[in-house]
Amino acid sequence: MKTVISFNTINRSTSGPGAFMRAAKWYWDEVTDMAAAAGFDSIALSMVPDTPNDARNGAPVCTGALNSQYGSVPQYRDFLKEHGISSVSSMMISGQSMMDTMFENGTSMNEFFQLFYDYAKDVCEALKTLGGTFLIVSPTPAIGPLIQATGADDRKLEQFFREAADCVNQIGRMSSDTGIRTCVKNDFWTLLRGRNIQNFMELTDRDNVYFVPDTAQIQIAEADCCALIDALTDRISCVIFSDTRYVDTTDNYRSISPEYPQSGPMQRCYHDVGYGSVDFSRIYTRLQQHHFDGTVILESRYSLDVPRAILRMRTFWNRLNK
Amino acid sequence: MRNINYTYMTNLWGNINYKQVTNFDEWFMGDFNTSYYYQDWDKILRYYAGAGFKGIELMIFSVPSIINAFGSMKNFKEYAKERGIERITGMFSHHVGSEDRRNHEAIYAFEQKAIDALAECDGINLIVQPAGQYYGAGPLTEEGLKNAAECMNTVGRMAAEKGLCVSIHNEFWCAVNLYDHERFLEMTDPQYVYYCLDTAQVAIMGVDILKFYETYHDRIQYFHVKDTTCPAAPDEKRFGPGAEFDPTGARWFWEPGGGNVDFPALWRLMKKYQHKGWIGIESDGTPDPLATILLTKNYIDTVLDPIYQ
Repeated sequence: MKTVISFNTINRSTSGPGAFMRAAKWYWDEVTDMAAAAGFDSIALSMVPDTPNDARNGAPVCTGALNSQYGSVPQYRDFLKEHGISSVSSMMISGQSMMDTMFENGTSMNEFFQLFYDYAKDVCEALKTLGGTFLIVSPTPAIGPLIQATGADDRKLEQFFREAADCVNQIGRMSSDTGIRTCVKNDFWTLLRGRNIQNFMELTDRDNVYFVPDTAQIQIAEADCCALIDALTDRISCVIFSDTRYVDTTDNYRSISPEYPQSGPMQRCYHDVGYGSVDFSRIYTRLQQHHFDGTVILESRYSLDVPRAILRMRTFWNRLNK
Repeated sequence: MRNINYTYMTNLWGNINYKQVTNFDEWFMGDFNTSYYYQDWDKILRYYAGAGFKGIELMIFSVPSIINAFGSMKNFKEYAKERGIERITGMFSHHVGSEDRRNHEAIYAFEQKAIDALAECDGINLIVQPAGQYYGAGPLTEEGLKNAAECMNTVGRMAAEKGLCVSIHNEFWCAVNLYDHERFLEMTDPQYVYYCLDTAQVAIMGVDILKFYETYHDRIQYFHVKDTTCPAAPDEKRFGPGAEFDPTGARWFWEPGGGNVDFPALWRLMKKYQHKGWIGIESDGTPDPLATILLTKNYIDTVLDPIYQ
């Protein structure tokens, strides 16, 4: 298995000393160096739709930012190589990022799927240039904002679910043409929860759309990661190892900002990999039983201490492999 | 009786996602850092009130998470009041793409949300970046500048319908810049559009803020007080991609007294013109918000208040 480090380890939307600096290029350049120093030679980036406002960001979060901060996407690739990172293995896009951008732009939700496809295409082209393999797609916005936009109507949500699958199929065909694999990722707050994870995959094209289990997201969504691996093993070539202790006892998944639970006994969704309650030994063994030889993305999502998290992920992987 | 009171923009914290975080161990054990103290509005509001600030300003981007956490902007206002914050005075927003009229409808839709949110929490002033960054958009053509002004005027009228003011907040890296910012100001309607003087941004742009205030004190009803060590930065620094965030990590903005802006002289001018109202402090980019807040309050108490309060 090949390991990749996810830059979702950094929370760009948090508060506290230094939070503002996460919009500066130097911060991300240094994180890149730290990733290489910890023995990673490939990274996973989380991308938002390209907008003039995001393009002025020093973080590598959209194609416009790569162009404006590094000169061009090929120049970003060269920068990474000079800093010990040989490729961007994967880029992640999400329906929630799309909706956030639409909120900021005052765009109607009627345009969601066309804009989501355009966003995917833009990111896919950059990923190809960066030597990547996986376009990771979280295909729907969070349930809470979606209900706000469409109304609490189950039929409308079901229709959105089907249209999201159609859109992912289009994205899959588009990415296949460029040699990139489109992989569906479930986030616990999206329409892909419980049995609906597999239902969604059944609506997608087996030849062009794959599945990427995200361990923390699956656990919070109260699904069984190993059962999903068993069921979808022939469609899995990439796995995200993330960790959590969070148990959603308040239907927080339906809230507007589910990654920041406002009530209940637990309010922190993620822990550094190896510091939560995900049973990685079991998942790792199950992957081995299926002769999985793909990519493992290590993601200490929204770590409270990024440099330490990078080192912890290396330590975690070394121990898991013993 | 004071003529001026101080309000603090909350963007120096980043994005505050929680109403109240209560379980210390959940954030501390295993990581052993101070994150617990910086996650929620409860503590951050109390930090401001504890430091003697009675007002705060918000970013438009905070509105969805505030509504998620509090249910409504009105609830948030009440919550802040219980913690010693008397007024949510302002909200920052932006008009990226305003030079192109085709973008105006989307900007108006976006700004209506900002206006509604600010009105709901009994705010005063919508503080607006007039266009996107210079890189990629500047310099604006005459028509572009006119379109941006028209956009500002329209939003000014929309805000007035809810009893709010709109004010121009001109960033040093904005497409409206040194060579046209005064013309832009004059293109806007004084009945609906005021000016929020960001002392550092405008100084970095290359403007003598004392002369500027002398000239436009009728329009300058709002402030973002911050200092800088880089007045009159060269065009190539201001017009580069993402100029707001220096690629080397260098700091543009400092707490008042930390740079070259002549605040005592500005306060003497405010006294001369008997300025009244809320004065905003902004400290974006500080690596240590609490230290900056306390240094700012000390500067107000020891340097500015003795001149004019």
